[in-house]
Amino acid sequence: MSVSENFVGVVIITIVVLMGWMIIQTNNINQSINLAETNEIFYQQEKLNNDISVILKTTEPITNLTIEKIIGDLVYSRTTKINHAEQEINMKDYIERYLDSIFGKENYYLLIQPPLDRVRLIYVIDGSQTMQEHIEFIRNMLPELKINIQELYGSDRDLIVETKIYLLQGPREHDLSCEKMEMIDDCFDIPLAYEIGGLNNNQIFEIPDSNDLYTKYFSETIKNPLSEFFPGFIKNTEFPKGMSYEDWATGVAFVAKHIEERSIDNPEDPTMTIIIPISDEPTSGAEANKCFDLDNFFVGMPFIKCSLCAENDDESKERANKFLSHAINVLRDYDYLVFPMAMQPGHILPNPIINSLSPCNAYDSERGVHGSEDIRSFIINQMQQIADATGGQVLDFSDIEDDEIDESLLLDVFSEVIGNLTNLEFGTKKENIERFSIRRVFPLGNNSLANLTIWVYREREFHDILTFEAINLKPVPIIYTSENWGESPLNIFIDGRASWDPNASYPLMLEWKIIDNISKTIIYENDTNTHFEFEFSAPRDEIRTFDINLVVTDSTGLSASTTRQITISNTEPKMQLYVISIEDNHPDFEFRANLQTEQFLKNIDCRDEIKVVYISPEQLTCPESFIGCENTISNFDPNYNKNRDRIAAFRVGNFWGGAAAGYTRMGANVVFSTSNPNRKEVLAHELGHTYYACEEYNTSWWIQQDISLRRNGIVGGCINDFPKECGFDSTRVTGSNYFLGKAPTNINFVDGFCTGNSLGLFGSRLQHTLNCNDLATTEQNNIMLSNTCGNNIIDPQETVTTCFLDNRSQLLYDCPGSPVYNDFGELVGFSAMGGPLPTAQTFEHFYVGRMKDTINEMICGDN
Amino acid sequence: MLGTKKYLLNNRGIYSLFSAFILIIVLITAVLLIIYLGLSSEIEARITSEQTSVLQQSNNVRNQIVSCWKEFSYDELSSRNVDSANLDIINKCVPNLASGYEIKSFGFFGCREDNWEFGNNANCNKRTSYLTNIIGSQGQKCLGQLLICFGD
Repeated sequence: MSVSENFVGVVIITIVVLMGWMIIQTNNINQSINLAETNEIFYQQEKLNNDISVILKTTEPITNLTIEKIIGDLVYSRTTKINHAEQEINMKDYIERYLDSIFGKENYYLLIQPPLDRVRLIYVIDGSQTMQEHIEFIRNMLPELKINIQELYGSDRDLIVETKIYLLQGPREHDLSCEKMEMIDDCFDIPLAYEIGGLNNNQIFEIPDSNDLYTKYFSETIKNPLSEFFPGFIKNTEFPKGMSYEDWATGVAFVAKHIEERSIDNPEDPTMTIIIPISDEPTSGAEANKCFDLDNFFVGMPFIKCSLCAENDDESKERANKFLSHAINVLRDYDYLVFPMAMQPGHILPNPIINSLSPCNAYDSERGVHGSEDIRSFIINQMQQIADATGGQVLDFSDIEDDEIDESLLLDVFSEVIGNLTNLEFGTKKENIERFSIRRVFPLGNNSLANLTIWVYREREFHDILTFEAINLKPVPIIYTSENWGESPLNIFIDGRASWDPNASYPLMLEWKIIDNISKTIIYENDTNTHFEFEFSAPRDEIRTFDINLVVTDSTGLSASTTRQITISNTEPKMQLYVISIEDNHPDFEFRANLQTEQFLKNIDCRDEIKVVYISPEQLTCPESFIGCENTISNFDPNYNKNRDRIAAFRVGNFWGGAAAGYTRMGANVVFSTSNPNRKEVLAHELGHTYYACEEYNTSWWIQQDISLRRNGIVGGCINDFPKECGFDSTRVTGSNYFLGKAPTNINFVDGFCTGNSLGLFGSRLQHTLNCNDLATTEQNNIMLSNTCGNNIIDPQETVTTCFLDNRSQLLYDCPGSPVYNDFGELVGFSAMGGPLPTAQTFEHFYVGRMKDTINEMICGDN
Repeated sequence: MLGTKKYLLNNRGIYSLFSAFILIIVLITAVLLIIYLGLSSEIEARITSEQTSVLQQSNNVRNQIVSCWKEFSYDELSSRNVDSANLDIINKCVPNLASGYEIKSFGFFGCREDNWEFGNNANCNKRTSYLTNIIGSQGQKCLGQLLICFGD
């Protein structure tokens, strides 16, 4: 082999080696590039995570909430708008513009997905004759709809779709007379609606023959006068008729309640419930009320005669609206969405001969009963109301034949609905484009967590943050006045300097007007003062009101106004309230007493006619005695009027060794109250008793006092309503004042029960009327629960008082305690200590809700 | 034999041409390899030093600045900007890797637009930006931006 051949061989081997090295080096470079890209994504994601945290923590000035909280509330409340100073603001658009300015328009996509494990579609179907064809259609369509929704939304988030059907079945099928008030009890033994079991893929529903749980539930719940259902559409309505198979609004309310009763909802199993009433009639039916009065007109033809009088019958509309408003009130307690479905009306065309004989003369031969424009617009209006109240929307198929409603049409509607309701999106979603993305959890308004996904597209990764044009909001005018009412003449300091502008568009211009509301004249006008004093006066024996009007204009020219009313009295007061101490040493007396008097007066509509007379401890005190204190005041002020005035006597601490924050007697003129600033509700509560208001926070005590008042000749007993909110809706034991309740399972009711629960003996131990046989008839282990508002209100200050009695022995008589007498000296029980007093929170809820009106009437009424 | 010799001479000519061709190929390959070697080293160095480390460094610098300030507020930013006694503190908050930084507040949501500079922000080879909250006088959290300057 020659040298040259060896040389060539070496060269070739060298080239091969070098080529191999090049390949390895190229691979290294590729790996480096990949690593660099991975690192870049990692660090960019870290940066993006930081940026999104900053964005979400930023404070929005209109609501003074963080962006995170606002978005969470938007998702939770399923709304996009808020109202601010008479301006409606679309918060979603507002926040989207904010994000646009940061990331660049169409350069990002932000998705908030609240937790959702289940979508429950519950259909409440009008089971009337004209709906029969629709029912067939619905029966065939629903299974496929369910499957498609499951596929559409269940695939990427493990969503379960459930379907349940309630078919409304009216009493008229059984007896038309059920719709008459005097027969109403019998009607309730007939099922109003049937529950149809869960709908499987190929299952069709059938009406069960027997009266199952649903019937029992309905009878027990609706017949109970304390039931949430009862007052709205039977007891207190002037229109008891109805309760028929068309009553879809009541059916929806019932279903909502039914779901809750069965404890189907589990907070750890987030569920969206959509209730879909389906009908071609107004709730309670389209029949005129006059129809119900025709029993003897067309004997044996109830259905036909009822078809004659539907047109222009305002009474039946009012009846239907009563049912609707009650249903809406029930639904407000639930987080369920109602999507009413209006079907094409079935036209009922009665015999023309019969019609000519009709006393109603309201039949339209072409449009029939349900199909008239009048009734159709009424149906849609009703459905719109219930949809608006619950965040749903109306599915109006009233102009579409059934065979034209294909399943895809409904699927589109529900897809959009479920999609819109579950997710909140900002920016633009671009699937096939290079982007940085992060996913993280996001807090919602109900303490649950949603998923947050944000994409930032790489094509426009680097850009300047643009100017964000905030909503130019109106300024917020605020008027401060040193007094709002008083006796003439009254000098009042008026100040508008607290007015502000959310956009900081200062300076603000303030324009004042004071208007005499009687003469309608402007008595003061000024556009330079920010604050000033003004003397108001009223003629002798007159009460005058004045409007202070402030218009505030910001530097951009936007303005807003507010008005505050001043009342000046120059008349005899409706009541004089003497405020006095029973202790010489009473620190901050006027401040403490004022807290209590204000709490009382703020709920009195005629407060401007009540004169409060403060008597300082240095000036005078009164003894802790009803007669003694009243004598002190009558000697102090000859104008004291025993029939009109009240005396509030305060001490620093509690009474009766600390057991009571205040006390008085029914109908007395003097009340004793602690001046403890934390118990500012006590005076108002005790003053309520002086007007024969009974305990508004305790069912047992209310009953006790009501009985006592009636025995002592107070016609009508307690002036305030029975505080059923404090109690429970279970059945009252026949012939007694007791109610059934479930006892906690962790209490030993046999030995040592009373000693272990000594707090709860007052108010429930009405031994003189207790009949253990009553309790023995119950189904709840013969345990009775005394109920107070403490059971319903979460309040750490509240002493939750319950007392459990065991009919198997006389243990309750062995309980420790001292005799407790009512306001008329009757023994009502034994108490180890006093029962619960209302706290500020319970007071606000119950006093204002239940006692205010009656007290107002007593004090402010003409008599 | 002559014939044979002539034949051999002719063969040598072919071999020399072939050898020359191989030599040229080898030389070209060697040159390409040297160029490739130089370029690939430079590419790799750039990838690792710039694209990766700058982002990492930038995030680290941002974290150092934030932890140094605890939180940004209009009051504190303004006071440190004008108070010469605080210069040492300011300098401590400028990490060695960066030559300086700037904090801008945006006039969003009723907040005041402003900016504050720390260290040397004049000759930046690279600037990175991060969003940050700036506490307003009423306790509200305004939107701001932290711009980090990497100098020579």
